[in-house]
Amino acid sequence: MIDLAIFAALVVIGYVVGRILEARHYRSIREREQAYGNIMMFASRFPPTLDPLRQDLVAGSVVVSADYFKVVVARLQGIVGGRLKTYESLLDRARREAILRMKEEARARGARMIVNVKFQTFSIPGRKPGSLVGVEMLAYGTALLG
Amino acid sequence: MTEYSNPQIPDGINVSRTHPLADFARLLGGIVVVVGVVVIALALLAGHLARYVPFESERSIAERFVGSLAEPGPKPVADYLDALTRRIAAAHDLPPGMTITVHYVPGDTVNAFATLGGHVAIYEGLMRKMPNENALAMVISHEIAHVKLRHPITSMGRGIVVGVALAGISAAAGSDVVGQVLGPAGLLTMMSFSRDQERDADAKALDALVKVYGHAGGAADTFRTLRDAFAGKPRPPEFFSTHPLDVDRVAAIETTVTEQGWAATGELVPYPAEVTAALAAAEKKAESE
Repeated sequence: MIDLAIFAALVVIGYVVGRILEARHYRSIREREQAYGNIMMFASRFPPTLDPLRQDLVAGSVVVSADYFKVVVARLQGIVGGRLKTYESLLDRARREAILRMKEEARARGARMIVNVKFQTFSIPGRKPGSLVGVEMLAYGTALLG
Repeated sequence: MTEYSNPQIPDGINVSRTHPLADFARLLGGIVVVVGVVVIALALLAGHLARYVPFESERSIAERFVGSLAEPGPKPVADYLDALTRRIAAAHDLPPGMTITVHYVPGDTVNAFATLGGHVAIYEGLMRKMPNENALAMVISHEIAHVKLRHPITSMGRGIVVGVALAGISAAAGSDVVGQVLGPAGLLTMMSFSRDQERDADAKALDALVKVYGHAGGAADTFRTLRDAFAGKPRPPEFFSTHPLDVDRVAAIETTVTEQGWAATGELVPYPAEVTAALAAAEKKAESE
């Protein structure tokens, strides 16, 4: 019974704190996306103009971990299969945060445009086989300075 | 010249709008229901099959742990319990080969139980609390009814099967989280089973009591006394308790007595004088220690 109480407490704490932090993070993401809106970003490999420009590699990376509530819901979902909805918002935040950090670096170098943008993820495994501590989301691309 | 732009991606494209709590509730509810159905099915099956275990096998399982029960009490009390148990067991029409062994357990604990192999334990504390022989006979009769209905072996069979099933499921799901959710779901199911068993045992016990004494007097006293014994102590709500609330049991007894047309009251037999004396001596001895 005590195990169940601890479990329930962790779920409640995970949910409440996780919700608050997520809402705060999304607010910050939206504000900064407005602020960095003038730095354009493309997936194409070649720059839109062939003017001689200096090219720099820029990157933004973020490491995220799920809260207890998200993990429990995802585990339960894993029994029956389907969309891991609690992880969707987590990875959405990670992706957008990584882009913002990449753009921040680009702006510091005076670039207005990043081309050939790519994403990579790396899982940080836990001690138990098959478990996960967190995920790194890395965004990188070629900043055009000119 | 191509135009380039980076419009702001609207929110909610990559993220589901379902409330996470609604998701959680749906998943948890669904899984608990499925596990509950599986556990109930397994428990019913195991309980059904356990009844076919021969009584001799049950007795040989019991031999391994029943040694701890065998503590000789004061002689008059032990003899009296033996004789009373034999009389009640005779009224139960036990199937051939089924034997009842009664054990007297010293101490203040107010309790009695039946276990594998027809072993029945009656605690000293319970004997002191019961107002007369009829009330004690109802308790013994109730425990004998458990043995006759094969409840101990049924519970053990259920316990083993459900335990193995839950361990298997949580191992297969590969996480302690799942086990923590599933364990209690199985436990609640088990408890409601034993409550049905108590009701069945009460009915059988009453029948035998009337055969022995010619009336049902004292039966309701048993539960009233138990209720008073626990009065003031916090008791768990009925759902979590393995025994139905005593109020319900008193009502059930009264209904059965009326339905069967039995005499509700009659002459109540007191404990023999030497038994009362032995119990009092035991109590005094315990106090002085």
